[in-house]
Amino acid sequence: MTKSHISIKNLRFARGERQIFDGINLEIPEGAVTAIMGPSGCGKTTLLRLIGGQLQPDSGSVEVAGVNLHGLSRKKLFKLRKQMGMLFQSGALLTDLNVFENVAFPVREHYQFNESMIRDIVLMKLEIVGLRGAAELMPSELSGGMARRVALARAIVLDPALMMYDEPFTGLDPITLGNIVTLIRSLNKSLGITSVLVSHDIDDSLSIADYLCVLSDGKVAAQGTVEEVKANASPWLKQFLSGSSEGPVDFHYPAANRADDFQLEAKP
Amino acid sequence: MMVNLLQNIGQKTLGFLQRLGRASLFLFHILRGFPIVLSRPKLLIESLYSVGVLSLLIIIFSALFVGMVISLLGYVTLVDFGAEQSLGVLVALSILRELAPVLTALLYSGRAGSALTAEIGLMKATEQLASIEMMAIDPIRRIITPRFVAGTIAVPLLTLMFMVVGIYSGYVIGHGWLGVDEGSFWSQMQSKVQWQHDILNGLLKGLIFGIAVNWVALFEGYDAVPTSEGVARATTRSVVYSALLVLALDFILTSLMFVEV
Repeated sequence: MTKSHISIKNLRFARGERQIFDGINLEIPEGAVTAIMGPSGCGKTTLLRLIGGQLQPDSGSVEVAGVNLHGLSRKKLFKLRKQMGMLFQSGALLTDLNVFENVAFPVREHYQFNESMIRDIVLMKLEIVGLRGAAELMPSELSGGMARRVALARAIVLDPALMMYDEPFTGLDPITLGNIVTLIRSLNKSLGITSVLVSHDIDDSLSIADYLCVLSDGKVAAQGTVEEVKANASPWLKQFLSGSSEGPVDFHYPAANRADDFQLEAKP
Repeated sequence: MMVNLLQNIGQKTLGFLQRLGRASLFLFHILRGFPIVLSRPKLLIESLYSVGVLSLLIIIFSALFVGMVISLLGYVTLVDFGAEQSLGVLVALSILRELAPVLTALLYSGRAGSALTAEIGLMKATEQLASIEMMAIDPIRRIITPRFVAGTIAVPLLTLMFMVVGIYSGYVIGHGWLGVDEGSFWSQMQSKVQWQHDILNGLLKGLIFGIAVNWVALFEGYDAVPTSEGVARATTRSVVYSALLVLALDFILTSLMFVEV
């Protein structure tokens, strides 16, 4: 395994009574695409927020690029965040700004560039995602897939070293989905960005991931290269990866005995 | 039963105190971001337009009718005592001291405060605030502070507008319809209304209400549960709490400003 960009040690995190992470250890290698997978509600998005420093762990540590995020001052955290890009599931575009201004937003906030330079940077990023022609549109005029591509352009506009994708494949038509998959792969290849991908879309994630990490019940169920994980899969993981309804995970939520519930009493 | 009741009261009180604490920290954070308003006045001007200029019409219309009603009702009472010449004083004092600041603040919270809460709440629900934070930009400083400062400037100015329009519409009804003498309407007003005691105190009320209403509106939006139901509740709460707070503050301020016991 190459050098790790993110290293998570003994991380615990609870929301109210619910223990979401119960001592997980995770290494995310630099310059590769790592897919973090797991059933719905297992805390995948929460993990991204912990890596982004938006949440603080109850115990344990999250190190990004060798810096422990826990207890970091706001200023230092913001400095570190300039090296991170995050693609939100909803796109999270600012609805009162057009596409161009949305992508220009982080540049304008952080740097005092002149207008022609901002224009070049923004149009270049929009060109990468294929939406240079949509620069003047408002977010309300975009389809879901286009909005996500604009959000991707905005996320990479400061040339981050780390990109985080929160459910990038959800709710897209096949063509847009193909585009996003290709984009994530090519951004990783051409710019050497470390990419962390959170998803439960198995086929698409495995098609671009170098490393795989599966979360379940607050623990890491498996991690390693995709081949390693597949080779050493437990029955649960096999069921998860194949999406079968047969296996250790029952279709039914735990319930009372059927006969009792439907009041099917044997008549004397 | 009794224990449950006590427990409930205790929980509610703790919850309230927690929210109050969060709201205070929020206000502190807003004020700490104040320099952005000076370094980027464009942000302030945009917010001033949306909360101030766009509220102007409703304020002017309300002032128009309130001035007319006060003038009519005041005349009916005063004429019994043959004191209708004092109509100008009655109209001016009731509008300057009480009606202009209070009604402006109430109308503002319905027109602009609710919009601020819904806007910020939706920005939270659609992860816009989170995404701004992930771009290493402080969302309170960049999004909330300009709106807060703009609202705090707008409410006293709208109050002033209310005062002018309200008094003038009172004059139009009093002189034009009811036939009160123009000279005594204005001259009595001039002799009884004091610049500092009445006008400045009215504007000061406007400023304090402005801070309260904007604080409540922005906090409710920022603290909203990030779902459509949560934003709806927050918007309702924003208007209800603003109104209660304005009326309670008005009682305190009136007793401090105008009553000598």
